[in-house]
Amino acid sequence: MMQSFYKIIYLLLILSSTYLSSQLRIEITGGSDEPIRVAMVPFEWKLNSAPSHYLHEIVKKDLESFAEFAVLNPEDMLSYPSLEEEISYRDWRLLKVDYLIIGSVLKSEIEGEVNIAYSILDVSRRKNIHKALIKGSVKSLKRMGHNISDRIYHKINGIPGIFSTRIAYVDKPLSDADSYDLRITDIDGDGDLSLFKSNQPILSPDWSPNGKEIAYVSFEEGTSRIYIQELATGNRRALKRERGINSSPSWSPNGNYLSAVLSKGDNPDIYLYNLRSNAWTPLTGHYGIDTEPDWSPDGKSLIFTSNRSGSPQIYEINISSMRIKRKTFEGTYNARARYLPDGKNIIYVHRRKGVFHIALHNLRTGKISILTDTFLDESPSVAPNGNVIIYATKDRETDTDILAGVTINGKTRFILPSVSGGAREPAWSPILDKY
Amino acid sequence: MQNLFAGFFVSMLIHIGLVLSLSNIFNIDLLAFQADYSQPIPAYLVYEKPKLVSKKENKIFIKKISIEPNSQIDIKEMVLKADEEILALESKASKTTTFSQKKTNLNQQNQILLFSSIIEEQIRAVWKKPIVSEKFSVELILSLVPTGEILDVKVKRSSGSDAFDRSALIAVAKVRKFENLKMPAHLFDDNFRNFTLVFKPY
Repeated sequence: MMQSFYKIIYLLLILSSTYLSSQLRIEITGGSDEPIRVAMVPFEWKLNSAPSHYLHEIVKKDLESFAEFAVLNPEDMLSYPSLEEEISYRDWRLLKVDYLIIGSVLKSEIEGEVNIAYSILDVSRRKNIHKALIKGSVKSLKRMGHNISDRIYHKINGIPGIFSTRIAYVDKPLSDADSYDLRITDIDGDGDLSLFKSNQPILSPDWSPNGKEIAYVSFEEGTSRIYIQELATGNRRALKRERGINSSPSWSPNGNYLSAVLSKGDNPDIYLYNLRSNAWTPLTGHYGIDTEPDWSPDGKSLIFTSNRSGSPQIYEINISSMRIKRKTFEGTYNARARYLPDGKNIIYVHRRKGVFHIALHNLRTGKISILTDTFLDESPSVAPNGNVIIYATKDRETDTDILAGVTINGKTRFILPSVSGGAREPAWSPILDKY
Repeated sequence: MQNLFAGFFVSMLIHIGLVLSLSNIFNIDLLAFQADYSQPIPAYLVYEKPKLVSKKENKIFIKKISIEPNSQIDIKEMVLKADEEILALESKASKTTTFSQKKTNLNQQNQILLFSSIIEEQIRAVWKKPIVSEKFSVELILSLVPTGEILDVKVKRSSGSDAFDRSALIAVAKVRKFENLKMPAHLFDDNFRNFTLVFKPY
C-alpha cells in the first residue's frame, strides 16, 4: 500500500516538474562546414644536431589528409611562442585559429633520445586542454610526429587518430603476371615494404588485433592454405590444412581464434580455428556458399556473405546461440561485409544499377548510404577509428588497380599512391602506437 | 487481501482527486496548460504629457452628454442615458483590451521564435562539430545581459564526450555577444536572460 502511495507522489512530482521547467530551449543541429583551424608553431629545437624532420610539417600533412582540419602555415603567423606565457591570444583569434599547438624538442639524459613537450590550447577560451611529454629516439622523429598528430586528432575530434596506422595490401604488378607481393605501407604512402613474395596468388590479408601478425591465404603449395606471419621477425607458420578451399581468415577481437572458410563439407562454410588447440569447428552448415566472415567488435557474432537465398546477401550469426539472421534485403548483390568499430554499422559491396559501390548500412535503422562513386569497388576495409574506409578499385583512365579511400560521411575521397598499378585487397591495421 | 486494499486505496485517491479538481478546489487555471498560453505582460507605464490625454477623454465625454440649452429633458433620464453610455464605453474598452492582449501574446510567441532563430543562426555560423560516431547531445545554460553579451555559460547535461562538449563551449565563446537582440525588457527577462542551448550533431 505504501509503495503505491509513493508511486503516486512520484508521479505527481514528475508531472509538476515538467510544468515548472519551462525554460526556453534552443536546439542547434547544424554547424559550420568550415574545417577546424589549427596553428602549430614550429617547435623550439634545443638539440645540437640539425633536425631530420620538422614536426610541424608532419603534423600539418597528417591533419589535412582528410580535409577535416586546416593548418596555418608558419609564414602566416604573427609570433612563434613556445611557452604558454608568450601567447598573445588576441593575435591567434584574429587569425581565426581554433586550436594552437606549441612545444619544444628537448635533450634527454639518455644518449640518442629526445623529449618532446607540447600543449594544445583552446584559443577562444584561452585554455590549455592537453599537455604532454613524449620520449623517443632521435631517429624515430617522424613516428613521434605521427603520434602527436594522433593525439591532437583524438583531443579535438573525440575519436582516435590513425596517422600511425598502416595498410597491408597485395601487389600484383601489371608487368609481371606471375608475381604476387604482400606489402605494408604507412597511410601516407611512406615506409612501403614487402612482407612475402610468391609466384602463386596471395589473398585476403587480415591483421591480428595487437597489430603484430598478419594472416593471409597463399597458394604456394598449389592449393590454398592460411598462413600467419609475424611482422617483427618475418617468421611464418601455417594453419592446419583441410581438403578443398581454405580462405578468408579473420581474427577474433581477443586474438584467440580465426574464422575462415573451408569447403571440406563439399560446399564452402564458415569455420572457427582455435589458435591454441589448432582445431577447426564448423559454424555454418548450409548447402549454399557461406564466405567472407568478419567478427563483430564485441566478439559475439560474425557477419558473412551467403547465397542461400539465391543471391549473395549479408547474414549475421550469433556465436553462442548459432542463430543466423539475414541483414541485407536491398538489391541482388551484397558481399564482403565489414563491421565498423561501433558494431552498429557495417559496410559492404553493394550492386546498384549494375555498378559495384561501397555502401554503409546502419544495422539498427536499416538505412543504407552509398559512399563511393567509382566503378568496380571491392574489398573495403575500415580504419580503426571507424572514420575512413579504404577499398580497391579500378582507375578508369589508366586501367590499373588502385587503392582509394573515402571518409564515412562520404565527403572526402583520396587515392593511395600505388607504385606498380596493381594494388588490391587492402587491410587496415588496428591502432599500433598506443598513447 | 493486501493487494485489494492497495487497489482500493489508489482508486479512492484518484476519485477524490477527480472530484476535488472538478469542483475546482485547487483553483487550477486550465488555460495555463494550453500550449499557446502565456503570462500577461507586466505593463511598463510611461507618463508623457498626461494632461493632453485627459483632455482628449474629456472632450469625447463632454460631446456625448452635452446638454442642449433649449431641450426639455428630464434630468433623471439624462443621468440614466449617461450611465448607459459609460457602461457601453466600458464594455467596449474591456473588449478591446482582451483582444489586444491576445494579440500581444501571439506576438510574443512570434518574437521568441524570431529571437531564438537569431541566436541559432549566430551559433551555427561558428560551431565546428567534431566527428562523432554516437548520437551525442550537450545542453548548456547561457546567461545573457540585455545587450546580448554572454555573462556565463554552464554545462547542464554533458554529452559524455569531452571533444563534443568543448566544441559547443567554443562556439559560445566565439560568439561572445549576440547581435540583433533588441527586444522589450519583459520579453528578455522572461525568456532570454537564462536559457538552454542544446547542441545535436544531426
